[in-house]
Amino acid sequence: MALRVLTRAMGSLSLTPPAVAPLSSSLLPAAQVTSSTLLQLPSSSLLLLCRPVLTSVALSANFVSWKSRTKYTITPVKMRKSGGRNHTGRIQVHGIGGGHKQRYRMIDFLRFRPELEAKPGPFEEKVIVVRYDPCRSADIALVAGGSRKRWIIATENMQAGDIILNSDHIGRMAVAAREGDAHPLGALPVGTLINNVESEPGRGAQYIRAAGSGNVHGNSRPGIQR
Amino acid sequence: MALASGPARRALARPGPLGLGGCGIPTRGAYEWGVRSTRKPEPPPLDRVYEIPGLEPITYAGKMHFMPGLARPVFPPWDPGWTHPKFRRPTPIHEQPLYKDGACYVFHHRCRLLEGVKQALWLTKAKLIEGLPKKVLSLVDDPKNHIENQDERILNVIFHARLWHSTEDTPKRETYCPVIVDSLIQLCKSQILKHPSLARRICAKNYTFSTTWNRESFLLQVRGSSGAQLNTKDPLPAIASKEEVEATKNHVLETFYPISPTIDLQECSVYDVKDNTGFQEGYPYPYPHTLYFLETASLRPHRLQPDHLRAKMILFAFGNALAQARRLYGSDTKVLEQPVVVQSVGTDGRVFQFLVLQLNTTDLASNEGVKNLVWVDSDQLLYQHFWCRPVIKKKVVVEPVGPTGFQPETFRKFLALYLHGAV
Repeated sequence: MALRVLTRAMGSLSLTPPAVAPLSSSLLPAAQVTSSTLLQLPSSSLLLLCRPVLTSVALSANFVSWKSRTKYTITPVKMRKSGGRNHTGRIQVHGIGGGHKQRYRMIDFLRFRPELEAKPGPFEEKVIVVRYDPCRSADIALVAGGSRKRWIIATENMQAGDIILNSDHIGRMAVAAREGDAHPLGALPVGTLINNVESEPGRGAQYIRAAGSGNVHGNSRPGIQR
Repeated sequence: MALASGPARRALARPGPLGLGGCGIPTRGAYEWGVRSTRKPEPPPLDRVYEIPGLEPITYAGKMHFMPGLARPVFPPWDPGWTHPKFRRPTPIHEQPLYKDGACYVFHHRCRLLEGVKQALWLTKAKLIEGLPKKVLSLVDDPKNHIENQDERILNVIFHARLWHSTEDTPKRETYCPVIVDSLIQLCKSQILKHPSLARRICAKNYTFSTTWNRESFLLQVRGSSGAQLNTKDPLPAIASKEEVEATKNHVLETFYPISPTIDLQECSVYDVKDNTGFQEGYPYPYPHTLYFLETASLRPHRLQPDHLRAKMILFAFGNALAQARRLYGSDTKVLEQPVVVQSVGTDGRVFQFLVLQLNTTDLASNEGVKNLVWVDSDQLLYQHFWCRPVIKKKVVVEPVGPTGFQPETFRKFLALYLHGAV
């Protein structure tokens, strides 16, 4: 029935409707229809009898994020560039776009993340290689500990073969911090340069991650988290 | 409280982001990989009625439609009674017949060990000696063992493999690498007239073997399937004397803290522990002599690096030797009076790695005691580069077609490894 309505509406829109003649004769038996008139304008009553039909529709944005991988891996993952477009497909931020194709290396920002079968407590890892990451300004380092490998942000003088310590322990004395180690802020002496800082323990580093950045640990109040 | 809405109300209700509410538990965990739309949706939680033991919850299952106030029914998973061969699901891991509680770390032909040769030596409890053993080197220099027109024939082999046998301008590594190895073995076989005992050998391809052993609380397994294997009717004699074998007791294996020795090995819970030499019981050529490994991938990231190739050679030769020792002397762990010797050659068509492994002991669980011996000769070039098309600069031929930097020494070592045991 919808098809009939549609075809009738379509028919009513055309200029030479050959089918209109018998239709109009059935609807308006009193009107005299002269045959073989080429240009027969549609009568207003026919237009009134059809429902309005939309002949155009807006395209929907088929946006699926490229971030579909749920399991961590060290192999580079293919990524799609956004070009400044958001999920609706329109530009939200201007000036972004183009540039060399990049593959994303999954960086582990939570430094103190012991392995599943490992003993709880501070653990050490060895730096395998420090390399360029196209997705950020800082270099990244492949570190291996236990039987897993992961990428982390490399500090300035990190080299292949270094051993770095990841710890969550705060002792009474401040730790003599070496470059590349990860400690809670409460364990570090005031004045150490820190980067990759997390706002709560277990959150993951969200601050001071870019190349050349480093902040001075200035807090000396007791009662800091942990 | 009534004026606050949304996040503000949540912030006032929970002690979270203003300080540390949950005593060490972050209000929001670290980044989880995967967009929410691609993560599997959690099943809806069961009604609280199901937590009360002994109580039968009243559900709307009988009514065939939802009823507010009644519990959500939990149905057993539907079993259609038959399976379509195209859509058969594999049995869950825990129900598979070979499932075991302890994990096994398997090494196969695609594993690339992070620490390379050091890790392979720890896994096989072996001591590394640079250079081939003196017995084999004496075969290298002996002029009686040389083939007539040896250098000319090797150059012909290189030309044939790299240029002549294919119709393309520059044959790919997948074509020329197996051709080179086959032709070199054919050249070695031409010495049958001088040494008739060379006829007691057979070349096997597409072999598989597997062995399992314990190494300091890790269960390790090697599953091999690669290249070609030379089998003989008589075993290879032991190379190192008893005194040298006893002297390895003082050698300490290198560890690589903080990396665990099982890194880059495939961990699996479904495995079979039995040994398999790859051949059945009554096979006429039971003793493995040499294993040949070919790196035929044309893209460099797909090929194994020389360090990884040597580690793979060590582990496969060890696996073969261990399977052989268990077949001959039983599966109890002990020091062998007659050590098992297996050789191995790995190449990518240009660079050769030679290896001789002597298995002295099957007592691999502890770190002390007699160690196995491994002689490695690494990175022997047969030729530096091969020009398929001549380099012409200003109408003058600078580099003619052919190999540059040809070293006949490499083939002499290849021949010596082939003749070892038969001469």
